[in-house]
Amino acid sequence: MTLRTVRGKIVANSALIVVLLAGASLYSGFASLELDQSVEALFRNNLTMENYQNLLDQTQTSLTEYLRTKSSDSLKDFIRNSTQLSDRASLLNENIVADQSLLLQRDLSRVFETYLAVAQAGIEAKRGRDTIVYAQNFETASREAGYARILISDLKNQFLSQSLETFSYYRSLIPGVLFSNAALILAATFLAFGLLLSYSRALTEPLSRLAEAAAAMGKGEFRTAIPHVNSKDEIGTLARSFAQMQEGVRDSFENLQTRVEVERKLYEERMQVLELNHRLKDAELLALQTQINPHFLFNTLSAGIGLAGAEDASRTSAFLENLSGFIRYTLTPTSRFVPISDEMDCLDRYIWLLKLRFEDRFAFLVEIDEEIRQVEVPAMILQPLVENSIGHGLSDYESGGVVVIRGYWEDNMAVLSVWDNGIGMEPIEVESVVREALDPDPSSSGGIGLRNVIRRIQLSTNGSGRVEIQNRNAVGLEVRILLPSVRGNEA
Amino acid sequence: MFRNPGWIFVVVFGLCLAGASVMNVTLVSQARTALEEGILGNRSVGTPLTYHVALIIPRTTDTFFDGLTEGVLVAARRIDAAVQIFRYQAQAPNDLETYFQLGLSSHLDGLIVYSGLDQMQNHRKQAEAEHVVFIPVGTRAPGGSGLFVGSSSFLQGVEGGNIAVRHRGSSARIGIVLPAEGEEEPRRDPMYRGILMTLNTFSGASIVAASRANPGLFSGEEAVSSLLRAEPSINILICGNAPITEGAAQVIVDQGLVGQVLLIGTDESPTIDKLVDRGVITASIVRDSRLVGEQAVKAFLRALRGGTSEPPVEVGFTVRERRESKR
Repeated sequence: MTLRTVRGKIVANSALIVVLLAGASLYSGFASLELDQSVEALFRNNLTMENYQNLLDQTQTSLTEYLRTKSSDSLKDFIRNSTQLSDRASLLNENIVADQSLLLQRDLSRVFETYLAVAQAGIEAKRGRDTIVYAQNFETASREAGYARILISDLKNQFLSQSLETFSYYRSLIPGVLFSNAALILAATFLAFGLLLSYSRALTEPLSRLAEAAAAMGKGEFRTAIPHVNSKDEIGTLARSFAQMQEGVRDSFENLQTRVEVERKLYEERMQVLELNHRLKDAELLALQTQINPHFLFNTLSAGIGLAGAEDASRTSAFLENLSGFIRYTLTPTSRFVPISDEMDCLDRYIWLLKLRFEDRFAFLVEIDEEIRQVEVPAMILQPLVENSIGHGLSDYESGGVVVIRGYWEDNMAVLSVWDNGIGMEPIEVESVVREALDPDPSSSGGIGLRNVIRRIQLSTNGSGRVEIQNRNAVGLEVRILLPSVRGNEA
Repeated sequence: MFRNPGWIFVVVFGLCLAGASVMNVTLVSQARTALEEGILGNRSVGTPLTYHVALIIPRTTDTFFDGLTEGVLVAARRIDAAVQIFRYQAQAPNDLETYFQLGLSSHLDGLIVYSGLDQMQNHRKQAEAEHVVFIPVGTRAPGGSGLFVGSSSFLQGVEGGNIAVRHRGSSARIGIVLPAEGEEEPRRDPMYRGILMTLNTFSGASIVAASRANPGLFSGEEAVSSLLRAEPSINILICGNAPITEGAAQVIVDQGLVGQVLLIGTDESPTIDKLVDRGVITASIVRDSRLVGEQAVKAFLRALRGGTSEPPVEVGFTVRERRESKR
């Protein structure tokens, strides 16, 4: 377990907190205990003085006993006690200093010295059986012992007085010690709390941010920034792995999106195909219907032609024949390309029919160069223009109406022109016709007419062919169809 | 770092912990040092001095002895001497004797002792026998030669008598209250004799009563009250020490006798100074006890160097009066 792991960090931080709190508590406890024990020092001097007094009393007792009985035991006691007293006396202050208790100690030390010397002299006198001397020495020793007791008593009083002073001072410090103890423990507690707070935040913040990022990713926000974690522990590893995972998911999602888009387009295309197929079916059905009716019409017209021939009605026969040819041509699909010669045959039949109807009211002039007769053009592009001249430009003419149909080369383009001397078209009307013809919405250009022709020329030539509408000499209207082609070759 | 509020906690309470620890260690150390400093052998004894002198004085509230002690201590510092102070019960002669003998037994360098004349002679001999310098101090010089330092009560009495006749002339009727520390009956007291000597030269003035105060805090009040009750003719009171002077002033104020009974006191204290300024005490004859102490130490040093046959040293006194003082 190392500090590089989350577990190691948690354990280290917890240990630090525990050690901190335990240290603060133990320190304050031991400090208080030691202070409490130190109070014993207040009375240590008095106990020492008490020992001096006891030793002095024992020495004096053994001296008295020996001088009275001369027993070896009492002599041993005296020697032992006096030796101890002498040793202890050597611990007392011997220096002359400006301190009353130390000066008293010096006095006591000297009194002990005198006492022991006199007592020893008494012992020696006793051994020498010099009664007078040992009696005098005993008296002197007893007096010195009395002085020593006075000094010990004075010292005790002084020490007690000092102890009380010290104790008062000590007591004055105790509230501060207790306060600082409490402050120490409180500070340690809050410090531990701070460590806990800071460390837990340091530990969980990357996790929280990772969680937020994960939640955002769960909502599909694959661009959410992943927090950068420098640590080399599990959280750092998790963050880095998560970032990699996000990148992978993002790429996969984008690929998926692309694929879905492709599939959607494919689906739409399929739907279009289905729609087209559906329309094709409708068209086929319509075609079948239209095939049935022309057959009936043509059979009927053929029967009419045969009847007219049998009755020698040549003009009626010609009428039916031209009408049948014209209808047959109009049923040709308009998307089909036909040679201009075919288009002219149809137009000739149409003009024959018009002349039959209008007699000399309109004059028709057709000038088609041989060079362009084989040029292929979309079917049914001239008849609507002639019909337009008759139906609109010359409709008010009772006579004198002229329609000129021309075909020739111009600047490597095959030109088909229909001119009439009718009322022409206003420029705004021309602009409207052209705009509607070029509108991709089929609904705006329905029907066969000028707009239809313009649109079909545009579509069939991919924009390279065009239709020009011009008023000529303030009278009439010329519509020119210009088709790209190669002279001598068919388009 | 401080984007994490936990670190603010850590820094603030880390500083608190450090502060509390330092404070605790300091206080505990101070307490421990204080407790252990008094233990034998633990205390720093300072620089050793040269002489060991004992000052043996009565245990009393008399400010004379405060001045004496102060003078001895000041002078002792100058000659590198340590002063050990023993205070004996004034009414227990054995107490004085014990401390004197203790001083001899301890082989001190010198003994400065305030005692009566009889004890003084005896002590002088014992000290000589033990080769201990003995300097008696007091208010009454022993007869003959020998070291003595003091301010004579006799001379105080003479000055007291002078002040009395200066204020009352021949009509002076004097009552005298002497300190309890004296041994003899009042008429043999040096102060009494000094007053009497002055009055003998001034006819008419007289001492009508004299008594010695008993030991105790209010002995002055008791003695003065008794005296005034016994002799209502007293118009001047002369007191033998500072406590009696303060007590007598209290009695005079209490009985409304300020101005009728002039009070001539002895020695000085803040109370006496204040009463002098207020006119309750006419004058105070101040023995310069501090000078006595200083002179005693100087005499000790001279005696240690062989000058044992010097005459007594009289340090004199000053008179503290309301407006001016004179020597």
